Amino acid sequence: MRTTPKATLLLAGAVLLGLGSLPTASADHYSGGTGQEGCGVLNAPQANQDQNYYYDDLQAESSAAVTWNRVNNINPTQMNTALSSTYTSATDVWVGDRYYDDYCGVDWYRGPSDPDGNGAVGMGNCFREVAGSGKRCDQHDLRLNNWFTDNTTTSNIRGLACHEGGHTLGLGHRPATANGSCMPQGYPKPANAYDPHDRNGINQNS
Amino acid sequence: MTSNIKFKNVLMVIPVAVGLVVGAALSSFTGDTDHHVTLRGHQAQSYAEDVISGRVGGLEIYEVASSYEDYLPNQEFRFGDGTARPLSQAFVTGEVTAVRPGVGYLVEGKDAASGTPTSFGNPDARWRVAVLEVTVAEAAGAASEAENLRIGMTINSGTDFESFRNGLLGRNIAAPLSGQGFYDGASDLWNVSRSDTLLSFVADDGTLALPFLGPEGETGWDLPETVGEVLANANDLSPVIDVETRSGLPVAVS
Repeated sequence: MRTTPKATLLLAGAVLLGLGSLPTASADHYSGGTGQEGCGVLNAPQANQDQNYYYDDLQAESSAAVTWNRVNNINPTQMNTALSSTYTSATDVWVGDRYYDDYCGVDWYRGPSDPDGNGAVGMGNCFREVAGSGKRCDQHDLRLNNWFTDNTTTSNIRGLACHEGGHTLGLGHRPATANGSCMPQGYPKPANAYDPHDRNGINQNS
Repeated sequence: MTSNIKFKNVLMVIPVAVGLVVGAALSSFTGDTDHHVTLRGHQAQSYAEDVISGRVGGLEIYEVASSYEDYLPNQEFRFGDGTARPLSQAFVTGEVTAVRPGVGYLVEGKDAASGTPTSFGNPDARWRVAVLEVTVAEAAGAASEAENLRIGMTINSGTDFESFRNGLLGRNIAAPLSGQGFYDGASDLWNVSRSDTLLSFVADDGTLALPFLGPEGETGWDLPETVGEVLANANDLSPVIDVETRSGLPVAVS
């Protein structure tokens, strides 16, 4: 069968967009859109919209750390945050903390006496996509593990709040060499802040 | 002449634009699992890899491990109580021969420490367990005598199970396994170490592909390139790594 140039271009366009519809990883460490919801899966935040936070009966140290991150790291970017006392469909970031056991089938960290010595200390996920949005997230969940927050320093809890807050802003994990960022995994963080690369990603979504 | 070139360019743009529209239409069927269109072949394989990769995308894992090898059963850590134990009980390679529905989990309200078991097909399940049946090629640690075993993999409520299954069937995998009994009602079911994230795919030449790493890697770990490298040292006991508590966190110190 002979393929005409027009047909080739048409096919190329279709393939490009068809492939683009699949969940794709991002080489720039921005989470992009996965098209999935729940249990650790990320989607970029809704564009052109500041974040409306709701704290679900947080422990004092969790509340303080998330607020610290909003005030010191997020609000200075082009994204702004506000705290609401009610959980509604307008909530953009729901924040909860618990002594998590196996929520979402995850092996959660259980403090210094954890028999494994490791596990999840936090989770950021897209709870609800924007319908027909091209895989943007309408509401993110941000979870802090109290087994971690009860047993470590204020600086490390701020690092966790910065890290999980970054996920709600569309940031993915960064390698340990990202010296000015809280987005690498592990503690202490290289910095409890978003570096210029992170801020660029945040500002793209704002 | 110039205008002719411009006219040709316009003609060239039209099919691309049409293609984009067609692609967008196709994409709404191939990429959105809400439409329950089952993926097959390479699309299903990519989908399964993205499900695994997506699982770790929003998880913040604290760990004493600093390499993939630290998750092999031959590497022990000595914790504050003086006992030395590995992070994984077994390491296994083999072919996925079946993927079946396991248990589902419900959560009352917005949040909970853990879920309540329910049927896999319950539409309200927040997460579910897919059960991989694996014919073992090689194994180390507690599963070294196993010919077949079952591995549980957690999937999101929105994950298309049929596509996920198609993306795993017949593929060769390698995985450190942290233990058994993590999931309700299936005491024989193994779970993959590091919250299901360390499942890798093995190519015909033995090369390992680790979906959790993403395009540039996120751990900074030195990683094995082939399953042969892993198996070569998986049965030899490595020196025990001591763990101290610093700032309330266990830290590997040797």
